[in-house]
Amino acid sequence: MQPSESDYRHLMSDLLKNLINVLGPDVVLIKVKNVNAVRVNTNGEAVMIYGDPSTAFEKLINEYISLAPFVTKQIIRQVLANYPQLSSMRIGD
Amino acid sequence: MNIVYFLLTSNIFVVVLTVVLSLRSRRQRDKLRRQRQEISLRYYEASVLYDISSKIGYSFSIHSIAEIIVVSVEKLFSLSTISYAALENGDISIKTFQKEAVGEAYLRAVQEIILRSLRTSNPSVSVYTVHNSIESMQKSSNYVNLHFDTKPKTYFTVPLVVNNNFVGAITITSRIKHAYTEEEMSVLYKIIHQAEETVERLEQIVTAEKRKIGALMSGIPSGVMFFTSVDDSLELVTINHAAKSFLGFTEQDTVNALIVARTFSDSLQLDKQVKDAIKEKKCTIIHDVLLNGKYFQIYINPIDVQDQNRSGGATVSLQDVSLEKEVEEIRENFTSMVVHELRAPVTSIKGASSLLSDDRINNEDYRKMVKIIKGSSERMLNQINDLLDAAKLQAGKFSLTRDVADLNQLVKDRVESFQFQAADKKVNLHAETDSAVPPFIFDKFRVDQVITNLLSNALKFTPEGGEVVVRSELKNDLVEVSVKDSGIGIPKDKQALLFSQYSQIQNTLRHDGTGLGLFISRGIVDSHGGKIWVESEEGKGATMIFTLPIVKTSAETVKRIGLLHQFVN
Repeated sequence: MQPSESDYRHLMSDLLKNLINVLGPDVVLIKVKNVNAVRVNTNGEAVMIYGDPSTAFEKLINEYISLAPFVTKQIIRQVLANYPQLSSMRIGD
Repeated sequence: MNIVYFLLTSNIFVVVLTVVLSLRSRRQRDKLRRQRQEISLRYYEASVLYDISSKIGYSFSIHSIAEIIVVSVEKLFSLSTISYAALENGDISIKTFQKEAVGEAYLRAVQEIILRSLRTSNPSVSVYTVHNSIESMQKSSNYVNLHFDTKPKTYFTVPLVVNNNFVGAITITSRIKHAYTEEEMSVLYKIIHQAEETVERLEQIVTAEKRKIGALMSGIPSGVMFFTSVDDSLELVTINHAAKSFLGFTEQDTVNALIVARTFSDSLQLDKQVKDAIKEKKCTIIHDVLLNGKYFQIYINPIDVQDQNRSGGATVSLQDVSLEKEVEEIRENFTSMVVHELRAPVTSIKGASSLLSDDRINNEDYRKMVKIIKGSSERMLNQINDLLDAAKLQAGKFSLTRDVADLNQLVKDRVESFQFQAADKKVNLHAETDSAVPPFIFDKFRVDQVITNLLSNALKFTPEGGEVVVRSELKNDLVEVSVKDSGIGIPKDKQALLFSQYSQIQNTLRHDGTGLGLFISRGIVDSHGGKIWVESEEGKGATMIFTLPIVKTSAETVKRIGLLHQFVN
C-alpha cells in the first residue's frame, strides 16, 4: 500500500514531538522554519506538506541530523517502527 | 521661492543622508557585533577543546568532560541555569549550575526537562537511579531572588555521544523567551560535537597505549601493577598476568585497587603504603610478604603522572622469593646440622681427654678413653673429608686418580669388610659379580668410597633378618653395580633430591651424619662419566645403581669425559 501524505504528516509530527522532548522546543521549532516544504504549527505538528512528501521528510530530517546526528537517527528509527507502510525508508548510520 | 525650494531640498537631502548614514552605521555595528560574537564563539570552541585535551588524563569521566564544557559555556551565553546529566553504571547524575537565583519549582522543571530528554533518547534509562546536585555560579550577594518564574521560558538540550554511545546531555535554560538565536544554539551543538570527536580520538590513543603497556607487562615474570592517586583514593590502572596469578586471580577476573588491598593482610596495609610512597615520593621495599603460601618482595616506586586530575602514581612489583627463602632455610639448617655433627665427636674427645689427665684413671678406663678419642677423631675426620669433597664438587675442582683395577675384586673386598656388621644385625649380605667384567681404568679409592657409602646405607636401613646384595654386571661398554636391600624403601617424592647436597634436610627418613654421602657418590660417578640412580618403593626396599664406562686406555678416558662434558653443556 502506498503511503499517503497524511501518513507523512503524522510521521513528521511524531518525529518533531520526540525531537522536542529530546532537544527542546526552541531549537526544534527554529530549525523547522528552514524547511520550506513543511509547515509546522507552534505545537510542532506538521500541518501542510508542499511538494513530494518523501522529499519533504528527507529535508526535514537532514536539518536535525546535521545538528545532533546520533540521537536524531535513533529517534527516527524509533518513530519509523510505528509506520510499517513507510518501512522501506532506510536511515544511514 | 527659490530659497525655500533650496532649503526644502537640502533638508530632504540631509534627512536622507542621515538615514542612509545611520542605516550604514547600524549595519556596520551589526557586522561588528556579529564578528565579535563569531570571535567569541571561535575562542570558546578553542578553549573548550584545549581544556578537554589537557584535563582529560588517563581515564575518561563523562563528568569531567561535561563539567569542562558547562563551566565555560556560561561565559558565552546569558542563561539562568546550565545542567549536565551523565549516564554511568545504572545511574543518572544531574548537576545544575545556577547563574541566576531561581526557585525550587524552576529547578524541578529543569530536572523534568532533562529526564524527559534522556528517556526519549534512550528508553532503557527509565530504570536508572537519579542523583541530583545544584551549584551556584552567582558572585557574592548581588542577585535578585527570582522565585516567581516556575519554569524556563527558553531551553535547549545538546546530547553527549562518545563512540556511538549516548552518555549524557547538556541543557541550557533561560527565564527570557526566545533568548537564543538559531546560530547561537547551532554553534553550541557544533562545538560539543567537535569535543566528542576530540574525546573519541584521545580515547583511541589512550586505549592503544594501554594495550601496548599491557603487552609489555604481560611478558614480565614479576607481578607488576600501576596505581594512580585520585582524590586520596587509589585507582588500579593496569595489572599484569603474573600479578593476577600471584594474588590468586584468573586472567578473566576483574580486579581493582580495593580488591588488591584486601588480598594482602591487614597488617601490611598495602594501599596506605602506596599512598605514602606517592605522597612522599619515596621508594619502599617490603620484605618477606607471605601471600597464598609463597613469599614475595614488594617494591613500590612512585611515578610522576602528568595529569591535573591525579596527584601521582606508583608501580608496585611483586617478586616471588619463595625459592630463595627455601634455599636459605636449607642452607641454614645444613650449617646447623654440620656444626652439631662435628660438635658431638669433639665433645667426646674433650670428655675422654679430661678423664685421661686424671692420674687416678685405671688401665681399663685408660684404654676405653683412648678408643673413644680414636673413634671420635676418625668420625670427625671422615665428616671433614666429606665436607671438603662436597666443596670441591661444587667448585668443579674434584679430581680422580685413575688406574687399571679389578672392580669385581673391589666389590668382594668391600662386602667382606661389612660381613661382621651384617652378621651383627642378622642381615644376609653377599656379592654376585659378573665374571665378564674386565679390569679397567677407574679411581679405585673413590669407587670404593661409593660402594662403601651405598653398602653402609643399605645395612643401616635394612631390619633384622633382611638381605643386602651387591651385584656387578657388564652391559655393553658399561659396568653396572647395584646394591639392593630389603629395607624401609624410599618414597617417590623424596627420590628426586636424594643425591642433592641438602638431601639430608629433605629426607628425614634416612638420617645419616652430614648426609653428603650420596651427593659425593654422585659426584664421583659423574666424574667417571657414569650415572647413579635409585629404584625403590616405600616399604619395599631400595636398589642403588651406578654405572661406570669400561675404559681401557688413558686416551679413551679423556675422550669419554670430554664427550660427557659436551653433552652436559
